[in-house]
Amino acid sequence: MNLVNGKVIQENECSAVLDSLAMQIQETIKKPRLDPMTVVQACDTLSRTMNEEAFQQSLMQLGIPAYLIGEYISEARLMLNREYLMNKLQSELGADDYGVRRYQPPFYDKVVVEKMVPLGVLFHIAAGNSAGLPVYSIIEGLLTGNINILKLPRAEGGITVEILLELFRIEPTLAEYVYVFDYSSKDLEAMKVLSELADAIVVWGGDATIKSVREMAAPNTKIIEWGHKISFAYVSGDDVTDEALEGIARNICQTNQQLCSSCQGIFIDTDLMDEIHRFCRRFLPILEKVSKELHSGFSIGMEAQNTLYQYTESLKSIFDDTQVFPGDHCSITAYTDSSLSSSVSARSCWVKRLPRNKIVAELRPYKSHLQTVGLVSDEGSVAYLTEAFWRTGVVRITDGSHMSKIYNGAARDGEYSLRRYTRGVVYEE
Amino acid sequence: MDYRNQLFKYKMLYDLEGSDPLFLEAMKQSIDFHNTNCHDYSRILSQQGFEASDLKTIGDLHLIPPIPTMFYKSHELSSMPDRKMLIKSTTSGTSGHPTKVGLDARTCYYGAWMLWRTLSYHQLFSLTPANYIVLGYQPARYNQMGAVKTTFGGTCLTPARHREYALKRNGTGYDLNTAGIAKCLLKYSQMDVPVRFVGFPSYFMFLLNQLNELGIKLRLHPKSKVLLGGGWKQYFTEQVDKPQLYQITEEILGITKCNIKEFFGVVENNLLYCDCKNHHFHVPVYGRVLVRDIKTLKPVQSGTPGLLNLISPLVGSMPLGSMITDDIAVMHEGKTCGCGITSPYFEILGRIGMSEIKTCAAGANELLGDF
Repeated sequence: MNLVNGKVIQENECSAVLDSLAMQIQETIKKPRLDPMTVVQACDTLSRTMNEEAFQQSLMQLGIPAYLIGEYISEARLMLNREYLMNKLQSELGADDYGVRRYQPPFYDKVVVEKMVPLGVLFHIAAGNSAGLPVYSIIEGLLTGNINILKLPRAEGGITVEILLELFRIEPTLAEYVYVFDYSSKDLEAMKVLSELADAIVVWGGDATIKSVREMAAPNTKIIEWGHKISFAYVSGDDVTDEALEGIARNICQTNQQLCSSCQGIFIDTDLMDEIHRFCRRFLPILEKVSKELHSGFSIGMEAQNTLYQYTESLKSIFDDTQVFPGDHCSITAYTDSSLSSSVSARSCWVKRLPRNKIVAELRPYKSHLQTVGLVSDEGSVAYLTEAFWRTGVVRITDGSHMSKIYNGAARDGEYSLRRYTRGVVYEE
Repeated sequence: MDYRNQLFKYKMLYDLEGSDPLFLEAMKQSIDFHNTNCHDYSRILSQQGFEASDLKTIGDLHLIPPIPTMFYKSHELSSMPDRKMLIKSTTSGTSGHPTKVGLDARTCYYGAWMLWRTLSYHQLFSLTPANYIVLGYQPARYNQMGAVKTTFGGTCLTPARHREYALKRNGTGYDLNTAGIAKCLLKYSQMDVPVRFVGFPSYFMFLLNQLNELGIKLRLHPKSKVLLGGGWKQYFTEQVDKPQLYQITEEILGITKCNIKEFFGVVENNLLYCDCKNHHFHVPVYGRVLVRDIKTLKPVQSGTPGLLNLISPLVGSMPLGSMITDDIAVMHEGKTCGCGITSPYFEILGRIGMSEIKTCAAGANELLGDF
């Protein structure tokens, strides 16, 4: 679905829109800056009036497991809430007037007024791995006063346009700040036109996607990357509780290991394979219990992949010390190496050795790809371990159950989105 | 006695029942050979408690430990030294690392018999020269992909007047040759010579869409053909209905449904499955096909979807006798097809993996596809 000026337009109307897009954007840019409060107000109303039933339906069509739908909706409500957005604005752009700061700098003879202004036009290339992400990317663009062009991800089911239409119904003045196009990423010509109109391309995706965007973008177009990240758990000490381990299991099963913040596997603070196997035997029933509780609803393709993966790993174990611990709708594989990898299939986590003194050396090579560590350890080790992880490039440490939960005002992958969508300007009095 | 020799020279292409005893003996011989010559394969067999002598009837084929293509990606299995490999190929590596497959001279010889019999049966050889549009890679020394070799092979079924490649080599890689293809196609359409399209179905569909957008409608020579193979792979979710494909092909190129042939094959198995006039992949005498349960890996009945397990004694250089592909398939009884071939046929329903949610950690390039 394509959306221009708050109206859904057909594919064959797009090329005419594309031809006049530069002019339309000029007209909008000439107007006074979009007030963040207008956006906050509209989002807040949306969070309260959102048609839950329609939203549920759309999420179901996207194949989101039933147990997650309620959580998605309450998360969406929370993130659109006034208090949430105000806090985000204040923590990311500054406490006073969203970034306006008047002062006399030391060793300078003038009073300066610094503030954050919109970049202008953002071209969002959104990923399809998280429902609602394209909308949120646009809302962040609106909060910072930008005009937003969105290239819809494949197979997003129309939910983005649905929510945006609702938002424009509440606040019609926002409509001219948003353009949504359903172009295929293979439509190079259209992609190029859209990227040339933008001051910055906001790209969500993996290394290959980011590389493609870098190749496509003009040198004077900023690229704001939200790349794919990898997260894992780290378990240290003998007296960790089942409850803490259940937190890891819950993250694995709730997210099916699909998010950048999902736990892909578990490192254990040991050098001994015996301990790894002991841990696997202890963790398997915990993972199975949670997996059963959160019914997977896997498709046949997913189920088949899991089975084949387990069978393949069991064949491999004939030749090395890899050991598979198969469970019901989940599995654990113990490996002898310490490399970081993503899980091959959903709800199947790896367990590997990584003694604390090797953390930096082993993980440092993955630097900018690292995101969250779900840390389960005794109190005494926390300070040492967190310091070690910061040095590897990890940006967040929490417990297992919170790995994919975010708090209001948190940095995303170590960066603040609103700051990235604005630039600092200064007026010298 | 060399049962493989007899099997691959068997004259009735789809006579499974008649060839069952021969097939069974050839499989036993093949497994014994690999068991003796490939230490790692032998370890797999003994770990799974299987011996060739366990194969008493054709119904016992499921007992052969099937090896997933996934396994070959990380673990090479070979029953002959490298110097004996006449042809070396790699898989496309669509879903990860490519697999290397080497074929010895005898395997190639039997493979040639299989190709001869299969392609003759389906009347794909012709002495009339044709112009070729290759919807794939131009062969190059730096490209060992099996698909390149089979696609090129597809252009050798008639004398070739000219070949135009969608992906042209440039010395180190490939350039997309959209303009060249369009130009050639227009030129070919003016000539009184059949045109043959050979290559990936997804590329063919892409070409048709482009011609459609440009409003080009051609009436190619009535003996023109479309030969598609290589699977839909990552395009699975966008797969068009086959009837729709046939209809668009006729509208845009003037090539009728009966001149569209689809092939199925995987580099790790090396058998060629060619669709019948009703566009079904019937099982030829050279192989047997099982579908296995997606949870237990036990064989399932016709009509039940599961993992595709291809069985054949063709390859002597590597233990590829029973392998599970990444495809989800369903078997159908031969007689339900109605084309006259009685051997069962399989239908590919898709590939294993995600369908509900796109993966963040693994699905890196999907946003921009082949940008």
